[in-house]
Amino acid sequence: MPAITVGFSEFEARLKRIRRRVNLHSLVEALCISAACLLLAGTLSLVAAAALSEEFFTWVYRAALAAAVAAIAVSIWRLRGRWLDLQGTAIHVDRCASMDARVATLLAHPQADATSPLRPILLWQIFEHSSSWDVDKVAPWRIGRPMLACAAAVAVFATALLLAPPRQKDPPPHGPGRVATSATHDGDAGDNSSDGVSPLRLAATDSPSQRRNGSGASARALQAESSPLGQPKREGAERRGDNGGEDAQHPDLTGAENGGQPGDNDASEASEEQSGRNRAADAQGEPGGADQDPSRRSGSGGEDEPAAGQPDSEGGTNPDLASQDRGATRGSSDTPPPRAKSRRRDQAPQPAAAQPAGLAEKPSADTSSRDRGEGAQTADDVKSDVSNPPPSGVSPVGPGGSKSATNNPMKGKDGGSESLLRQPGIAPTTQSDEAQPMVIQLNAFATNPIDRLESQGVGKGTAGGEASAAAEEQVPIAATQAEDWMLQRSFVSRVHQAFLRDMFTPTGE
Amino acid sequence: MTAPRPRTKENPVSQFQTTFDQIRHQIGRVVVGHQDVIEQILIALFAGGHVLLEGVPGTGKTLLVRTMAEALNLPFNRIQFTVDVLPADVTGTRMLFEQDGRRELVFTPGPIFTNVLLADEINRATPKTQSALLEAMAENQVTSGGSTFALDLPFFVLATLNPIEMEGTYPLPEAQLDRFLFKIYLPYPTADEMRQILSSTTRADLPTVDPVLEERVAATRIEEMKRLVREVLVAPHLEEYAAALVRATVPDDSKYAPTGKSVLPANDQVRRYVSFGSSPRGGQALLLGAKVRALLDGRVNVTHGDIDSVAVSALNHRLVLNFSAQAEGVDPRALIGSVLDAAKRLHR
Repeated sequence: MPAITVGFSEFEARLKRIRRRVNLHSLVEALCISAACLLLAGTLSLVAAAALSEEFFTWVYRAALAAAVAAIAVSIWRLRGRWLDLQGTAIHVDRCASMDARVATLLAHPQADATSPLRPILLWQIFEHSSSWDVDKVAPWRIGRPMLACAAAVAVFATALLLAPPRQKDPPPHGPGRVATSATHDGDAGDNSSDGVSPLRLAATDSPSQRRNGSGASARALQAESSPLGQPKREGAERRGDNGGEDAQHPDLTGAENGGQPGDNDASEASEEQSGRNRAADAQGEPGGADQDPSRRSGSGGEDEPAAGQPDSEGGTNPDLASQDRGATRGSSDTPPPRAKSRRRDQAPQPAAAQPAGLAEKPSADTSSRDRGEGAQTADDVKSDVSNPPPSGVSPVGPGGSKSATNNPMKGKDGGSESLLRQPGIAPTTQSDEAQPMVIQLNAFATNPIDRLESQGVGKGTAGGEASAAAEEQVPIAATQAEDWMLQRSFVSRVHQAFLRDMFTPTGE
Repeated sequence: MTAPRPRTKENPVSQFQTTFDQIRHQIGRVVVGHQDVIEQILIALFAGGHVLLEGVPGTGKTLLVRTMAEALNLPFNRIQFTVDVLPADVTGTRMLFEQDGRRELVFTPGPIFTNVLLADEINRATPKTQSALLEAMAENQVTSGGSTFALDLPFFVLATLNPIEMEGTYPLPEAQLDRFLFKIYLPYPTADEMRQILSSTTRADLPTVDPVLEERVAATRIEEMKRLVREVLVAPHLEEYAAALVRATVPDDSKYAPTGKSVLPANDQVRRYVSFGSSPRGGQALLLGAKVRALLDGRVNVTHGDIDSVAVSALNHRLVLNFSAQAEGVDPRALIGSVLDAAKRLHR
């Protein structure tokens, strides 16, 4: 029988082509699996960041990271096991093309060692079945399940990115430190911070620890100094946990002080601290505190809530609590911690002896509408008031009238209503509790010591333009003097009081 | 580029297939049924081994061997072993002859000097007589009186075992068992086969066998076929597979177990019932039998299926079962089957 010496090079070349393609498939599949695992881990982390608290997010993030690393390691190990050498490729071809181990056998008996008279027959048999082990048949280009899984993971990740609340951009630096968005910007803090039109930006130069530790004392000192009635803000802060029930009915208290700035660690910590107090208070039977923890809304920012000044619901329960919690966990380190913007319900009824009649009548006329909820009514009232600018041309503090509701002095520890309500002789004259907030608010406006505000350069003059200008001028003052959010809050309160005072002051006076 | 196709008449594989089929057909004319047994016996013949055939009396063992010898047109001898058969009765002895007034010892070959030897009921011979076959089976030669005499090739021993009437028998020593390439169990014929047996053996004209090979070239031809078998190519991974099978028959807790981990997972039944596993001769038998199977399928290379098809016959008599297995009546073929199942799951 004549020796068959041709064909082995073609056989070997085709085998090498198959090997390259099979190994490429294995590599692509391993990459796809790794990428899919990474994307899924990222998606999981993203969802956890949006839906879970910081603690749970940390756990989920670590677990996802570990799972992704493990999956990548497994895929690498799997790739190593599936990586074919030439002999392995021959076995693979035999298995795929039903070659009955001919290819592997021929490869194991190369031409140089061709001493067997049966080797030419083997080579002939292999080429006779050449079509059955073609490259495209043995290792066709295909979209395997790992690729589909990777595509699905990309889709899931993209969906999570699109559905997740967008991260608020940090405001441009202003002064020595990063500028924190004013508390009055509520949910639109991101927008305001980005457009830079906010007149009430304060430089947050404190480090987070300073803000956590030292800012409290300094803020209390500043609060005590700037409080209209000299009430220390500590008192308001101590009552934060007790006011969860009513706070839930104040949509304007939805963490506007956080300015909707996500990624605030301090905000989240303070929120947790706050929520802890509130939960403790709720456990003691405080009304409405269980499900309407104000601190839980503190980080909501402007992302999820429609508007800070809008009412949440009739029952006062904010339907966006969950999303607000998500916002709380995403806080940045620049945003001041949330505060309890609550007011005790039992403190609301106060004698209205010192209240001017003209100021007390307007809110009482809206009692029916305020029955929807205190917070809503307060916000609406203020919003409606602000939406009708006074003839003097006073511009609102914030870009929107509703946002200024956040600066409502009715909010207890803003140096407004709570302190004022504690003054004897200052009480609303309304019959129902629902009507009290606006009455108190107006009382607060009426009794606000304008002199103190004017002495601080806030709201000098009665003209609205001057008040606005004063507010604008306060920015450098705040940037240099205020060192934490407490000061920012008190400052905003004063500006707002001045604005409202001008608004409710008859033009003829 | 395509390789030129080998012409059919020059294709040794086709010739091998043709010869094999003719022999099988001729044997089948006399022996009814037992097609698998016939094929296994022929495989062992062309693989250059010997066969130990175990079956109850009257199932056609002797007829089968004699028919095969007739079909191959090879010399055939039969030794009916009994307890009083001596080794010299098998191998031959020197006898004193007087010729032309001179006396001299002349070696007289025994019945072992043939191409096809039937050692009927070999377990009835004494171990000494049984061991007389060892050298002949392993080395195709006989030593007697300090002289070594080569056996004619091909030399094929087909021994039979009677599983009943065990009294007064001498089980074959393990060393001798290992010399047999295959151990084949001859079952009772099926009902249809039984009818054919009754019909063909009770009439006047008994079936006869036409020799497939010419007498003068028969031995040569068979030796060529045996050489061709050894030319069959085996891929390295199949050699590893055969080695793994053999290794899997050795219990891990045996003090003779090889070092290193077995490729196949440890088999609980092997560990429980087997004292000693297969020797390397078992591996050789696996590959040689597989090569014949490959040629019978028209291939020049061995596959997993070829190895699996001969594994039971090649390995079952090489396992030394312990007392537990004997007490529970464990069949060594079942043990080999379990090993094969594990190997199939692992290597396919």
